[in-house]
Amino acid sequence: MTAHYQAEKTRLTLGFVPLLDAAPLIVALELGLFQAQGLEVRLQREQSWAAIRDKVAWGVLDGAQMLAPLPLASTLGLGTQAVAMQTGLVLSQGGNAISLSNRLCEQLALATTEAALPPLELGSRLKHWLQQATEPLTLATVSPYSCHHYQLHYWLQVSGIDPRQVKVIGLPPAEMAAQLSTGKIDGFCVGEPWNSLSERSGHSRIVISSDQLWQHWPEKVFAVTSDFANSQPQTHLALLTALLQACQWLATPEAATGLKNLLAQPAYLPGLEHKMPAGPLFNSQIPQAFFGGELNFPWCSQAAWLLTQMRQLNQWQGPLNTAVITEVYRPDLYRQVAANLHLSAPTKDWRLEGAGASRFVDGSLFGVVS
Amino acid sequence: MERAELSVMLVDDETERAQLLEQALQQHGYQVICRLTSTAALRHHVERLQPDMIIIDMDSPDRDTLEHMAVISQHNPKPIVFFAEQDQDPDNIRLAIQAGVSAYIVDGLTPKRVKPILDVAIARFHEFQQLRQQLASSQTALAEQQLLDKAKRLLIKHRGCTETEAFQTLRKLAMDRQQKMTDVARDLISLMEVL
Repeated sequence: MTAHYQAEKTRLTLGFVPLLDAAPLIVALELGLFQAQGLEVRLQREQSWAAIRDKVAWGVLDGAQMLAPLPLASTLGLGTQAVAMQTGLVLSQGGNAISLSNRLCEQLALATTEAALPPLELGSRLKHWLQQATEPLTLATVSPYSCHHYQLHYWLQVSGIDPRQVKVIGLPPAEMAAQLSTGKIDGFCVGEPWNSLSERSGHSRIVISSDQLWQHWPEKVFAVTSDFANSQPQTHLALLTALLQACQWLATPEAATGLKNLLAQPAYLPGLEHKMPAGPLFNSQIPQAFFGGELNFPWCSQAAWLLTQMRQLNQWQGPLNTAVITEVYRPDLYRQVAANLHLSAPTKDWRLEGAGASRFVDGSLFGVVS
Repeated sequence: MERAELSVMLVDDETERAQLLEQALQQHGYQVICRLTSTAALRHHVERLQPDMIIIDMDSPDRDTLEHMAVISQHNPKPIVFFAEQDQDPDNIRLAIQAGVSAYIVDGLTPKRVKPILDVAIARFHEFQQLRQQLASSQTALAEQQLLDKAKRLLIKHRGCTETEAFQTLRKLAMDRQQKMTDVARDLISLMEVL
């Protein structure tokens, strides 16, 4: 039986972006898991990560699904006023992919029948092609503070591609396919279902999954402001409990059959059923998971890796600030919640990244010596 | 010396609201250099016009596009930032967000110059929100009245009673069942239409 937290605030509004990995929030509401914690939750769909960040920062939303780097970016005040946030729960892993336009695939001589090239091989082919190209390539991502954005840049960098030859711009996911067809962009890196939808409509091909670049890497987290977490600690733990239970459910056989109907409701991902009428919801080419092993545990070492990506792209010029990392990524909260659900949790906050539990495409190892 | 006039770009797919705001800003002496409803070419317009300030619907999917431009423009002559960095008063920021206003501002503009424009935008967005709500609630009220009228007409026809008696019947049913009169009317209509 789950522990009952004495929630200080019981009526809450949480934000989500209509992507497949909004599933934990939707499931927690639809299966009554929030209710079981004594919480009356309303879910609010948002059209951008900037809106999610701002509404959480200024208390218009109590909490939200966020890109794993976003609570760090908000705490550091990247592009906006700094508002301290924290996360005690990773909601999902993987689910992003890089898609390239059919035109570019043809020019790179990627035969449609052939199995996808390994990322580094594809990168080296792109590098050679770019040496003869007359114009820079244009690729798009959604938010600059996202794993998509960092993964795309990481792939270009480990492939030895000169950053001046590739322009990375921002676009809303719903516009990617249209801009591909007019040739304004040559490819993109986004979360599901956008890669699959664009491929199905014949605009692009999925060439690399995020799991190939950063294997077993957190994608979305649940975040609140530090103000909220400090003034409503019991509510926060109750929310994390319901969400972790939802993640657990997502790994069961019932989820495989019932999830599409839950997500496709008008308030969540409208039109999903129409756009993806047949076949599984999750594309086997793009591994995506919600539960299992240490997936939901917010490792401080992963936050540190994300900070180094921000520094790499000049979004952040400060030091690898351990205080910020341990303020934002809160494995201690996860442990409390997991213990009450009789789930095991790692005892350390930091680990060597890239050594097997996670893996980078170029074999990099990343650790912080404290 | 600071330039007298700031150039403002409006991005809003609510055409009426954008018009309202543009007029209001003009009355206050500000120049709106570009008003976009469809944002397909937002990046292009921002690069071409280099506005001092972009006012954009909080719920536009193009917010993230502007965040991108803000990051990239750190090295450009006109870097832009989300307005919250300018305005230190959390109540003001919350008010703007609740009204649906977000803004990107050329870094280095003083809050003194930005605030009057933001205030106009917040006021207009807020006004528009209220108009919308009023319209929605008056439409609901009208629909409810039509429902009650129809139920009364059916009662009069089937029971041969007066309008006052029909109304009293509905009210009594609602009180007995502890329901809203419109809910009772809806049930009654579906029942009597089968008869």
